[in-house]
Amino acid sequence: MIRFEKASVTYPGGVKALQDLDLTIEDGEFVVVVGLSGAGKSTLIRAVNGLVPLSSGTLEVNGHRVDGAGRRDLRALRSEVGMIFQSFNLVKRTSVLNNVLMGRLHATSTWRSVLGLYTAADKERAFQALERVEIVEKAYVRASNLSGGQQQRVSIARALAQEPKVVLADEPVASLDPPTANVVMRDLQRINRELGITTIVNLHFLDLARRYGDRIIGMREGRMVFDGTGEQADEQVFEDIYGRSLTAEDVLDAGPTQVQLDAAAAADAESQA
Amino acid sequence: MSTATAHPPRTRLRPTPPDKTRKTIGMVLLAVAIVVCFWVVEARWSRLPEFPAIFTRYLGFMAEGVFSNPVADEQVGGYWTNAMALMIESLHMAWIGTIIGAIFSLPMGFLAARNVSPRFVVVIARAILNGIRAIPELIWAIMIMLPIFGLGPVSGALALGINSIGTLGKLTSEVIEGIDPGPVEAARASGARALQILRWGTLPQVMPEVIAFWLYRFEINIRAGAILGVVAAGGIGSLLSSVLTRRLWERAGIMLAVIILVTIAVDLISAKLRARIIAGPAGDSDEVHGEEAGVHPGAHI
Repeated sequence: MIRFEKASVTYPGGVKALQDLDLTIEDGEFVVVVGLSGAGKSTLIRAVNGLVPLSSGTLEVNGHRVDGAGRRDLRALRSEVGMIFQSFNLVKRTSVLNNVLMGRLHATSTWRSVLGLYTAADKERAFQALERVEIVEKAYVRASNLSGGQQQRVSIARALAQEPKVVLADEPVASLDPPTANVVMRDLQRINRELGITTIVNLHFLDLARRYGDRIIGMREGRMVFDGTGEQADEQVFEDIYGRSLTAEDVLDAGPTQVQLDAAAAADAESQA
Repeated sequence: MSTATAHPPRTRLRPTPPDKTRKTIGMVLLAVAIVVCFWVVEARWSRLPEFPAIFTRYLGFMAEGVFSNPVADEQVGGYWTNAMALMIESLHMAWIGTIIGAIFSLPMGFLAARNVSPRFVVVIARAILNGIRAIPELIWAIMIMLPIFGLGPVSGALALGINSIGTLGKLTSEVIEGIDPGPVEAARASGARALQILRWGTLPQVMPEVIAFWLYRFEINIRAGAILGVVAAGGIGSLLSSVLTRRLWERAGIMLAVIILVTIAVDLISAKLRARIIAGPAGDSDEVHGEEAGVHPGAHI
């Protein structure tokens, strides 16, 4: 469970990126955070794993107190929280496998990781993560030689290799074309459904938000202005969140429907867990 | 359209051209510096017109040595093998010097990088690197290495090694400061420790460039090693100085030919290696469109 209480973030220079946020996210939820650039979406997500410290208020993630946590506590928290970035943040000059194995660093001793001696079990986890996003055949290819969508799937695999309880995705599809964006969103939805991983995704395309978000949080100028289901989030709600009328640029496209988890896949997910 | 006014109405003020005073002062100072240098070196400039003639004469002497048959003339053959053996000793010196430089410059580079080390560590590491670089190899060899290790290639190799630490450390720190911070953030977000972030977020990003610098430094060390030999620090340079002072032009020509040929060979090989390291393993580049499973057991750093 993730619980913000009266959480605020003020950046040096006085920008109030988050103001008095009260928000509880239950385990296994798929939450989409929407809002314009600068509305505090990235700050909200980066607060969850302590990349951005709170200025005031409290934040608890999976029983870890994030505000005021020391370095060791933060590392313990971060090991349970996978993160996916808009620009993928892969080390492009090394192999896909090495990138995914970065997700195992938290469980690897310093000397082993310096020498690159990952255990066979960790390598197996990395391969399974790559299989889950269907890109395992690229394991030994340099990350720089993959397309944008492939790179984003590798970064999802890196997050999965952590065996996280929570996945944070900061604008994961903003640098991708519409079909690829849908593939990546469905990958995220699938890992949420199959593995029960709490997932928080920042989006600014409202059609993607409505299509994939079980729950939608609207942010505007650092404050939460909407909290409801995808069905409740109609055009009027988005106009309130954006503070203006909607345009064609606010939607990505009309694409495929949601992932429906069939009985076989559900059984498979249970046996994995 | 063609009937439009010849002079479009001015809607904005045009910018004033930048001040030329600084540029002019700079040019004048440069000119003064050049004149002063000519005056200070006190070269016999009157001999300059004779240069082509003298140079061709010496070149002729040297060519006689290079083009005389080494099989027929046993002495000339000996010159070739002797020059080759000493050149290989020079290569050894350069190689050991480069390895010393590589091993110590890598941690120094991290310590001197602002985005990795705390401020006071950076200041100290940079001071050390600057100090090393301020002293030329020749001085390292004469003042520090020769008294300790005596005449010979060990002194030369160590002098090259220490100087290499200075330059390689500086270059490494600059590459580290230029990395993409994204992967570092990703490593931090995954709960990695500081050293793990450096190993898997920073090091793979800089390693291709750093290895290219090491190879480049090897090329430089070969040339610098030839100079060090002149102060009896081993390698082909030691013989070169005695041959030149005795004006044995034919033998000097052979030695020069060996130096040039070996240096060119090493430069060519190293340039190819560097290009490959920077670009990544070959055959990996069209993977985006490739359909088959691309499994390359090549060196992934």
